[in-house]
Amino acid sequence: MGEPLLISLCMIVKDEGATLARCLSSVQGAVDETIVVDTGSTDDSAEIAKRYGAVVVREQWKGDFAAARNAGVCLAQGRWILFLDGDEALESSQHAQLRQLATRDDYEGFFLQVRNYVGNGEQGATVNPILRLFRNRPEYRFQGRIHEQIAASILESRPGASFHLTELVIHHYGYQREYIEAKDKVRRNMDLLEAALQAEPDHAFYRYNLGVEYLRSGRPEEALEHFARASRLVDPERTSYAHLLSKYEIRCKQALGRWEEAYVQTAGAIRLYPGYTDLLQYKALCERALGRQAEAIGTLIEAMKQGVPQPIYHTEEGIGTYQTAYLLGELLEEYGHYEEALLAYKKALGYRSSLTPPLYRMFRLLRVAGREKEIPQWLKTSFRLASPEAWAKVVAILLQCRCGRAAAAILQEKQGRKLPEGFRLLAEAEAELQRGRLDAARRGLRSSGRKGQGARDSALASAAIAEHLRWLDGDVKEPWSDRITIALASSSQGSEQPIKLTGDELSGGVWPQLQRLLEGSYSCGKRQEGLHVLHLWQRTLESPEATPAGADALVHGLSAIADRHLALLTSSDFGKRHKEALTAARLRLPHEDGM
Amino acid sequence: MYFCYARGEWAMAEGSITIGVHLIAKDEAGRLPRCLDSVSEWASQIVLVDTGSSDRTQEIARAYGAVVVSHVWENDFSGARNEGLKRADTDWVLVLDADEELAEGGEGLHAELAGATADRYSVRMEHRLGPRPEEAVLSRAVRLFRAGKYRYEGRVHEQLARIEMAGDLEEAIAAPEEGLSELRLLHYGYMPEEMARKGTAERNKRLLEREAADSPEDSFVAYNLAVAYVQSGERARALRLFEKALNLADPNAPYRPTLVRDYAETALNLDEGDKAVDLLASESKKYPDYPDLALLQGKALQAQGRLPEASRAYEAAASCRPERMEAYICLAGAGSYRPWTALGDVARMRGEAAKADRLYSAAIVAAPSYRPAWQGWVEAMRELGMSYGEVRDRIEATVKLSSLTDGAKREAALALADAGGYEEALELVRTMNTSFDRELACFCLAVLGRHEEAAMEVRQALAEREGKKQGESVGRNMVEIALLGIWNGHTEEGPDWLLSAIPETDREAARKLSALVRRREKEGEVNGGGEVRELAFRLSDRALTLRLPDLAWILAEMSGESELSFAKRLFRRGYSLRGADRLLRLMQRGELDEGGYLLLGETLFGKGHYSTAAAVFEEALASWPEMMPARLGVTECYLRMAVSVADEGLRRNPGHPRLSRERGRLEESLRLLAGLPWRTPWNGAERSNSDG
Repeated sequence: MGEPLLISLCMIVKDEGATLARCLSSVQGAVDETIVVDTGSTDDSAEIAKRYGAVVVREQWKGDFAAARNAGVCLAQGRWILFLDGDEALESSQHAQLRQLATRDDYEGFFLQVRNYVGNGEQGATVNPILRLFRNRPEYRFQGRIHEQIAASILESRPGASFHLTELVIHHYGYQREYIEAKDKVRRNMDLLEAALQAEPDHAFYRYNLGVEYLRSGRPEEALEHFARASRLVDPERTSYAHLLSKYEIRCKQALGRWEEAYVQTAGAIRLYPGYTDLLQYKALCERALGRQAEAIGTLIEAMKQGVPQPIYHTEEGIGTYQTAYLLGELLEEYGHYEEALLAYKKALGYRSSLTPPLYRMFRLLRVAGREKEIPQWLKTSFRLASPEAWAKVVAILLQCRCGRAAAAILQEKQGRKLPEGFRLLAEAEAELQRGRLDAARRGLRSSGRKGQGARDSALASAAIAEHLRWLDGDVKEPWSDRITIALASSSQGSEQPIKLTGDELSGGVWPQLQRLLEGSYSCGKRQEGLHVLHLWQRTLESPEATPAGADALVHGLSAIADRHLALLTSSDFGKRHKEALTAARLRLPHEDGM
Repeated sequence: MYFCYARGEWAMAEGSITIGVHLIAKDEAGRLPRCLDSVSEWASQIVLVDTGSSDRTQEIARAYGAVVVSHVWENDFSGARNEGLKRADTDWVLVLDADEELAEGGEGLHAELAGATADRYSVRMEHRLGPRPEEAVLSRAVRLFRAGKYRYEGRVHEQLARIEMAGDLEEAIAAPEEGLSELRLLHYGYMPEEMARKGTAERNKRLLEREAADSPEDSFVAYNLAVAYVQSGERARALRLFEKALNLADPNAPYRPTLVRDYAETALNLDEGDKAVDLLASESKKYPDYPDLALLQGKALQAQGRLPEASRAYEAAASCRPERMEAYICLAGAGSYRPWTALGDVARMRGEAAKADRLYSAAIVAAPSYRPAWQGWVEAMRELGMSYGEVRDRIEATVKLSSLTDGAKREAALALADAGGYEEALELVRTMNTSFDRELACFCLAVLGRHEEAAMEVRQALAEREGKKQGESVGRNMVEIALLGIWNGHTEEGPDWLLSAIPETDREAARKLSALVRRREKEGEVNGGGEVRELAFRLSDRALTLRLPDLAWILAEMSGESELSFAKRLFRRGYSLRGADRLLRLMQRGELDEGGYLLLGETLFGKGHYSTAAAVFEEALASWPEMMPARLGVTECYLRMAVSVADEGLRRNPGHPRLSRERGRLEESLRLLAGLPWRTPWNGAERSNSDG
């Protein structure tokens, strides 16, 4: 008998031939055995699995995911069980860390970061921490026929069990397939409806539904044709969905830029369906697009007075309440009525206090109007933010809106002290950096480095930031270990071929870090350093692997620097005489809006 | 039945109505004939109240058959007018001033009044402020009324008041309406030369100050005194008085809108735009059909850099209904070509040349000699990429050049020249019927390098100088042009014939300078003496406008101008490459000042090197943080860099929603910043110098 097996990979598979090889090769050298439960493949999935040395078990599919998984788990002999899906892949550069984790005794399970690539992968990814590696004990079995879970079973048999959050990445490309599948579903529906309409061309409801499918697929022109045909067939006063038909027709025209037509139809529809607030909101959107902002504002005020439409109408959540209030705020802001805009955003929050977009707009508006110092007091009196989580969320939003001053003030007060240590220290550093106080920012991070294990994850992040700030400060005493500072140092030392960031470095995390560095340079008056960051960024974007997120972040960074200059202008004599024009221009700049 | 003399004609009118013309005058022998000629054909009676003429006023009036009343002047206009009214023996009275004439409407007047139900009529007033068609203010005034029903009240600005007579009580209660007559009177007494000749402003001011002392709470007097202060150049005093008058004024006073207009305009001219904006924000809502207010509001907002709001105000001015506008005293074009032109300017600032072109051409059609519209239109057409020939063709297609007055042609030619279309400008000047714009022709010829012909024009102008009123200054510009041509070595002969045309005070300096320039040609650098400095400096700048930069430098050196100053001037006149070259050398020597850095940054910006330009601006701002244009410039650099980042991102990921949205926001922000211009405002001619 050789070494005891450390990690067993357990998978359930059905017709994953297209992606299985990628998955299995990604775990080569990381796992010690692979068990694949095949629930009825008709392609070469089983052959591929065997080629990679997997044990393949054929199970009849009984509509029960947990049962299928457990069939594989109970055969596993490793100390740990790792489970993946056929359309996933383990991050190949992290094998050593994975095996290192598997030598630990203190945890029963590990959370890995599952990155879901949406659409065709260019739109970035969402990341969810999910429990994917757990101790192989006989009492730990999956539960749940459809959304199978393992954590519950672990905690049931071992209530004191602890889990650990890791930085290990699993790439999940499957959302691309779901995207295609969703498209297939729409296509299926449309085919069904088209067939039904062949038989009954004047079936208004089918035609209406077909229009809805076209609208959902982003094809407003065709949708409009069908809606128009359907409306000719219905009695507007007696058909229960006639108001929706009207509304969608208007929405199509808006999407097609036919605002004048949309406006006229909305006016007519309002007469037919008084009290259908959705139409008032649509009318306001038309007026705004036609340049009649004053009227749009009046219409939205009327919509708010009217409130939520009567129950007979099918409405969207927030119309007549928070959605309308938010839109009103946006319009008032565009029109230069900032006080009223603030009131409108507050009203939106009054209807639904968990909303974040109004907070983003308010913070930004107050900062640009020079009233950032009012924010902490307002937060205390207008909100009952009890939990540290809520305060943490608010501080994070303040930082995103570049309200470093307000964030710093909150962090220093009572509620700020209650925030989780790691978060608080990072936030303070960020706030100081935004205020241009490099020394204070560095000090905060130095103390965070000394904290214990509990702050480990934020410690990793803060170590990187600390090194960036050290570079900014020109403190070259120790060598560089972070990829960004290494690249920056090479160019600031005047190297002929300055280092670029490449490949893996271009995913996710690097852009916010570059943005922090860029904006931080300018706010601390480090122009030369700022130029180096800018040049590194521009070189990096030349790489074909750079995602659009990189371009987007640079746009935001440059806008923030421009905004800083405009802020300085506003406080000069020139600025006092041109305050409105400067404020309007600043508020139109690219910004985080929480959407 | 009445008889009336009108240049020897008899007119017998059995049962039809009669109209008399009444004037008060003092020493108006010069203007009286023009006035009376316009009414004598049909006026049944002319009454002139003479308030102390020492010239032939009374004699001339009698020659027209007028009843002449001598009245001792008691600083009371109403008193004088009422004296005349007592003598009326006609059914109706038309009141004129000696500096007015009837422009149109006289023929149908009898018929119109014969069927009248009203007992007073307002007539159209056209107050000319200058020689050009758009220099006029239009209003209505009550000048025509039934004799015996009205009298005047008020010492300085007399107002008509209805005479209450017993037995008339029923009529009075019935409140007779005011009729609108199409009669048009032309008032030319406000033309600058007329005002100067007659000392009107001073006299009015003195009278009004006296009246204001008597009635300090009288809003109308305060208002009129404020206007008098504006006319005499005491604008700060005028502003305070306007404010007082407005506070005292009755909300329904008929003069209140005009008061608001004058107040706002004065504030704007005194650079107190904030005051004007605040005032007009509330007042323009009360008078929505008064275009002057909306127009001024637009200008005030534009001065604050608020383009979207300014546009809305201009559009409001342009949508005032003509019928409603008549109730107000309006600047000519306030509801049409002035706001259209202003909107054209805004469109150009935002880079919307096609929109600007449409607006300007409409303005030109309405007012073919309106300079701002010509200037804007030609520039807009050039921005659309049209060649000078195409511009000229387009003008022809829109307004038919041959039908334009000389004044209009001149404006068009000036605009073409300012845009660098010297050939086309010259062509147009040559089609002018009178030859009064020899100077423009001379200038165009010189810039085109045709110095011999330019000199020819100067010779002819000198020959004609005798008949010209302003011969000296006209001659000077042309003389200097010719001088420079000679010095640049473009003509054979020496400058003696020219020098004799220069006024004595400058002749010696010119002679010395001429000799110095010649010497420099032979000997290289030469030191200019003290007397020639001023002349050399002025001629240096003129040389730049004539595309003679090398000669300009020679003259600059002789004037003792620093290289830095010259480099900046080069730049300002459009020689951006030459200027930038010099500025770079100065920068390397550490001799650049904040203005120089700004221009270097601007040059880089103009070439699209945004990140280098940003670095230059940042460097300059570190030393001179108050440099507003540099800060605006650096802001635009970063935003344009962001635009190209977004564009590249969209090229690789077409239709990316976030990037598209941010790109849109950047555009909007830049559009708003267009209201705060920082770059050198070159015209087309200057821009075309950059190749040289």
